[in-house]
Order: sequence, then C-alpha cells, then structure tokens
Amino acid sequence: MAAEDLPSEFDVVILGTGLAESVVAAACARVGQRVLHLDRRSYYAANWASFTFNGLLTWIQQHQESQVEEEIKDWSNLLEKGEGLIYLSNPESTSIRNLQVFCFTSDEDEEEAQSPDSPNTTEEKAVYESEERSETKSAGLNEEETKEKPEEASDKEEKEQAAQREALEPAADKPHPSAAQSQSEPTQKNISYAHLVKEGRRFNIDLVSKLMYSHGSLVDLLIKSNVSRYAEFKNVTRILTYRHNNVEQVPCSRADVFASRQLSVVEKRKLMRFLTSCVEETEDQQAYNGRPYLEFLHDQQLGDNLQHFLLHSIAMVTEDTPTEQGLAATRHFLRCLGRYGNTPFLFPVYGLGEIPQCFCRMCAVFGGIYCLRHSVHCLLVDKNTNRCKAVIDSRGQRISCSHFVVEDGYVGEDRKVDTPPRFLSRAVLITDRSILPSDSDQQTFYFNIYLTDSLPISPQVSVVTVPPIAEGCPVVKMVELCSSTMTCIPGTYLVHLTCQSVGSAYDDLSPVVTRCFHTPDSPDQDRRPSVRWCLYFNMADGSGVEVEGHNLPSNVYVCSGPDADLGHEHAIKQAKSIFHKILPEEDFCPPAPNPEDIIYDGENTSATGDEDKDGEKTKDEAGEDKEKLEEQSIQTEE
Amino acid sequence: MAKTYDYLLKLLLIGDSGVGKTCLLFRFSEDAFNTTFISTIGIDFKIRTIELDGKKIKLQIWDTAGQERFRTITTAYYRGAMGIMLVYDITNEKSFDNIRNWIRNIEEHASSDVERMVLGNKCDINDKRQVSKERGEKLAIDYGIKFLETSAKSSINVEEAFYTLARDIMSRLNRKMNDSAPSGGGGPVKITESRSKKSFFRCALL
Repeated sequence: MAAEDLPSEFDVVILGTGLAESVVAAACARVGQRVLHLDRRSYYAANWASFTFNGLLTWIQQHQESQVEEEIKDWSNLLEKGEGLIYLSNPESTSIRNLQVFCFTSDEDEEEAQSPDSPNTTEEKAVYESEERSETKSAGLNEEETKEKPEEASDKEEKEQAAQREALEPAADKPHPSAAQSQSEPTQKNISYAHLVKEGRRFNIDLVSKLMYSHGSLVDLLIKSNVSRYAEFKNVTRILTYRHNNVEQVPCSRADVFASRQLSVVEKRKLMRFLTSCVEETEDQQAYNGRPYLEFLHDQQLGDNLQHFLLHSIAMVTEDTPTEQGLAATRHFLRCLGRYGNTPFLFPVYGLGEIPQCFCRMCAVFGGIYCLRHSVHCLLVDKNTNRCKAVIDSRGQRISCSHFVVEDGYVGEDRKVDTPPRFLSRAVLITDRSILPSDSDQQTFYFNIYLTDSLPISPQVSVVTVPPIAEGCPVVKMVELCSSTMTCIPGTYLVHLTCQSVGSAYDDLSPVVTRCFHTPDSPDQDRRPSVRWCLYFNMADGSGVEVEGHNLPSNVYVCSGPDADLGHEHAIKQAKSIFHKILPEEDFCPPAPNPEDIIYDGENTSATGDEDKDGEKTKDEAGEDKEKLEEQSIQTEE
Repeated sequence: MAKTYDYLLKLLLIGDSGVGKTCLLFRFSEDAFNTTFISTIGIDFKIRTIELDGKKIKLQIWDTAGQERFRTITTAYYRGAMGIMLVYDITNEKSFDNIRNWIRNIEEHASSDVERMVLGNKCDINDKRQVSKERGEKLAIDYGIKFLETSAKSSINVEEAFYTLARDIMSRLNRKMNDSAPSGGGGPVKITESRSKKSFFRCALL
C-alpha cells in the first residue's frame, strides 16, 4: 500500500507531527490548502507522543543505539537551473539524551517464572547500557561536571546493583510466591515487570508533561475548531505542593479555601481577600513592577503558608519572578478556575499524545495527506528569490510546494540562529499508590461511572509543585495520573516530573524522587508510594526556537519542540503565527461543520437550504453553532 | 435538548483505500450511492439512528479520512470505538490479504473488547471477483468474527451488516451491565447519564 505514489504538487509541505506542526496542518487544510504532512518516525506527535509501555521500551532502545548516520545522497541531478540544495538532518539524534532506566519490580509473580526469557536480564542490560550512554552524553551537556562524573557514576552503579539485588532477592531466597508478600505493603499487590509488559498496551506514557489550562489557548482552539470532538478530557482534581517533607493540598477555589483544614480562619480570610483583590490591577500592585513577586506577597502580610501556596502553586513562578508576571500568572489561574472543575486544568484521556493526532485527523478530513516513516531529504531553493520551490522526499521524489514547515530538529545546527541549547529534565515513574491518598468520602465523590473496574482506587489527577529542595536546585512540576485517565493500569499511578535542566535529568530529579517516593535508595520507613519503574531523560527545550530568522529560505518556517511551561501557549502561538505568515488573509481554524448538520443531497441539491454545495455552513451559522457548543460544554460544570 | 436516542455507539470503518468504505457509509446513512467520491474529504462521521428491541440506537460511524492510504491512521481514531467494520474488495486480492494486517492494527490500538465484523464489498461485480466467498468466510471463522458480502452500489446486505454489528455490541453491553450491576456504574454508553452529577469529572470539550 505504501507503494502508492504521492502527488507531486502541494501548497504546504509539513515535516514533523508535533503539536505546532499539526495545528498548522489542520489550519491550512481547513481553509482549502493542499497539505502534505510527513514524519520520519513511525509514530505521530514527535516529542509530544504517548507510548504504550512496550512502545516506550522500543523508543528507549532506539535512542540508546548509536544512531547510524544516514548516507547523504547526492540529489543534485534533480536540480534545475538556478536552484540550490539545503540538506535536512535527523531530528532524533539531538533532541533526546541522558536516558536512564531503573526497574524496582519484584519477581513474585508466577507469570514471570514461566516466561521464557527472564525480564531481569533485559532490565539489567537496559540499565547498564543507559548508564554508559549517560556518562558519555552528559560530558557533552555540561563540561564542569565531567570531573565528578566517574565517581558519581560508580556510586550510581552501586545503588543500582543494590536495587537489583533487592529486586532479585525475593525470587532467589524465597521462590514461593506468597513469601514475597511479607516484604511488600500488606494491602498492595506488587506489580511485576512481566505484568507491566503484559498490560503494556494499557499505558499511554507521555514524553512531555503538560496540562491544559481550561481558558488557555489550546482549549480555546479545540473548541473554536471543533477538533475537541476527537478527544475526551478529565479534570485535574487537586493541586498539591511539597513542603516541610510533606505533600499538602493547596486550596485554590472558594470551596477549597472554606473546606481547608490546614488554614486558620484568619488565613482563609486573608487568602480570599488577596485573591479577590488581585483580579483587578491596582496602583498598589504597579508600584511593585520590576520587583520580585515574592516581595509583593511578603508585603501583603499573608504569612508563610499562604505565601508558599500563592507563589509556588497558584502563580507557579519562582522567587525572583517580577511582580507583574506573578500577578498575570495568578489572574490566569483564577480565570481558569471553575470552567470545568475545581482546578484550572484539564488532561486528555489517553494522554497528551492524542492532541497533535486530533489536529492531524482534522487536517486529513479536509484532504491533507499523511505519511509516516517518510521524510524530506533536502529542499530545492530558487537562488534568485531565496524561496523553497520544492522538496525531495526520502524516495527521491521531487514535490513542489509554496511553503515548507519543519520541526526544529530537522534543521541542521549550521543553519540555526545561535541560541545556547537548553534542555528539560524529565522523569517518568510508575508507582503503586497516590502520593496523597484521598479520604474515603472523596473516593465516593469522585466516583466515575465510566470505569467500573477501577472503582476501588480513588481517581485523582494531581499536579504537585515542588519548590527548589536546596539552593540552586530547579523548581520541579509533578503530575500524577490515575488509571481513569487511561494512561496507566488500575493499581498503578503514572507520575511525570519536569524541570528546566541544571544538570542531567537524573541529577536534577532523582533527589525529588527519593524524597517523595519510596525507592530502594530511601530509608524504608514509610507510607510513601513505591516506585516500580522509572525513566530519566533530557529533552531539548523548544522555548528558545524562533519561527524565522534562521539561515533558511523565506518561505520555510521552523516549529519548536515542547517547552517547560505547564500550558501549551507557546506551541499554539507559534502555530498561529506561522499560519498567518502563510495565509495572512485567512481565518485560523474556523469551526469544522458538525457532521450531523451536513445533509447529503445526492444529485438533488434543492432539498435543504442551509448548506452550500460543499456541505459547509455559512460563517454566521457556524459562529452561532460554536456558541451553542460552548454553552453545552460549560454545562458540564453543574 | 430532548434526547432522541437511548444509546450512542461509535463504529469505525477500516480497510484499504478504494474498497468502498465511504460508499458503504453513504449507502447506510443516506441510502445513496455515488461513484464520484474520489476521496473522503470533509467527512468525519455519519449518523443514523436505528431501532433495536424498542431502543433507539444512534450509530456514529467514523470514516478514516483517507489516512489508511499510507497506513497512517492515528491511534486516536480507535479510541472509544465499540464496533469495527473491516472492509475488503472482493475484486481486489490485496485488500483481502491486508485484512489480517488491519486486524493486527486493531488489536494493538483499539479496546480489547471491541466487536468486529468482516465485509467483502462490491459483490455486485461478480465477473471481476478475485476472492471467493468461502475464503472470506474462512478468514472470519479463523478470527471468530461475523462475515457478510455486501454491495454498496446495489444495496446488498448493507443494512444487515450494520444492524448485526449494532446488535452484537448491544448484547455485549447488556451482559456487561448485568455483570457490573452491583456497583451501579452502568455501561459506558448511556448518554442519558452523562449529564448527571456522576459524570462531572469526565467532560467532553464540545
């Protein structure tokens, strides 16, 4: 089937299926542009993708193997007079590094004994391979650290060996399955590695960790464009923060504030007054412009508790963020409250990787052509106009286009504006229980009719803000997903940690992991969730990448990968600006007609008046429709 | 808005390009046939409400939007599907061979309890037939799923196919609802419940 040839002429060719690229694709196809959307990878969504557990293992393996340099073919025979060539590079080689995998599952599961190839060997191999890689790689990432590295690495190795000994012991010492029970928590069934693999397809593990602000630009765009029909969402049910070695719930809505047990009456009154007052901009606030938000908060006489909540969990800014930014972030938070639930955030069911795919679907519905495992090798540039006239795809076909949109990673370093490469540190954990188990009354309150088999577990989706745990450490954002988000199996939680890189992902995040979770490294006192499996990696930070200004033709636009922010503003803003550069006159993602409203008339077009011959509504009607839909969606609050 | 149906079922059409998925969809939803659909531009899904055992069942049937052409169907397409029609063209051997690949695809991405059915379309063009009815039947038996030969053009078995799939989904749902009755959770499709308090935390951004 893939042998089918592509048409040789398009209006817009897009390479890379990340969020910004996919939004541009949908927007262009929606207004009638002929779009070809390609990705070199075998999956959608690039660095925004979600994987099943097994899919993630394959992804890890791919990034651990030394990348085979692709032979650069000479395409100059396809050149016409006055044309030049620009070769593209391979995006995967640069954007992901420092992969480390740790597995702390125990072996008591019978299935494991039966499985022909022992999962333990694969685990060990994965750990050591990744360890080697991290040493070589981090040398490139951070020069100063190289001196300490050997020591640290051997230290790590010891720890791992310890971890593995621990993992191996139950099986070695006590082959009887039931004996291992005594080691684990009495009520929790330990999850084996074989179980994770067997149930692997029920995981949807995101490479990025973000949430959708319910009044953010992504949600607004999903509603406006009707792309929202392709996905379902869950509310983030609570906001937590890590403080004094404890996880606490942050009261953020009016109801939360009144129900809060950790705030005094005076504090409640102060907090309500503060939140009400900061909605409007006042002179008092302006006086603090340019000075840290912390200083402003301090001068409001709020006390330590509230100051912590307001700075870290509501504004989600750092101590030196200027007041005007802090207040803007606080207002944004407040504006998003209560639209769909009691926190400002939504999370897509099946993971964030769904979102770019939903936009791709919209593009396809409006005629966009999709090919994965298919790339563009080089661009053909008209030397006179400095515009990209055509591309040569990975099969050597010349495809002409008026515009070319490309994921940042495909553009060679030599052509990019010189910005110092920044990275995000990421960790993904599979744990056995929530970081803050909810009260039993809450469990019934969050009762969910859709997932009857996962009822005993409280379906909480939490965002946890972790302020720097020591001087110089980064602020860490943690998102804990329960199985009702369809990203992990019942009995497990999926935890994502993200921060701006200071060192490698392991250096940045493992101190937080050892504090908040139980790993073989941590003292075995406690009721903290146990980590079953975890992955650390660094990903290139897309926030610094510019759309234009690179050493590229004027009709080539660069989309950046994921950034560190919790929301999606960066990618949506970028997509919108690219779209307006390509099509300055056109509307960005007008609502797609509701299929139920399209009445097919066959040969007789006289039957209905409300559609034109394409089955599309007039603008006014579509606008009305949108409002109606928005009202409906707000109704879900009640 | 008053509900005009009791159940909403999401169905998918899957199969190679050119086997007549969109034609089947139009035959069933609009009782129309038009050979000029070259591709499936602008069609997301079609709706038809049918009645089974006195219940109004709204079938929402999704088309591939042409993404099957280069085997690049988004995983998101499979989410929440309750039934899948696997379609091949009886005049095209290759499309029949690929059914196995599509089944593998479904097993990977769709929910594990999705109802499936195989359709051999274009059975009106018997003189160009490449795949015998027996081979279609055998394939279906191998996978334990139902099979029909259809013609969207001559309107053969199209109604039967969709009614059969819908009935199979409903009987599975009823079984499931009886099983989980003590928890009072209800099936995942009862739309009348989705506006109730309980579903507060699952919102669709319509």
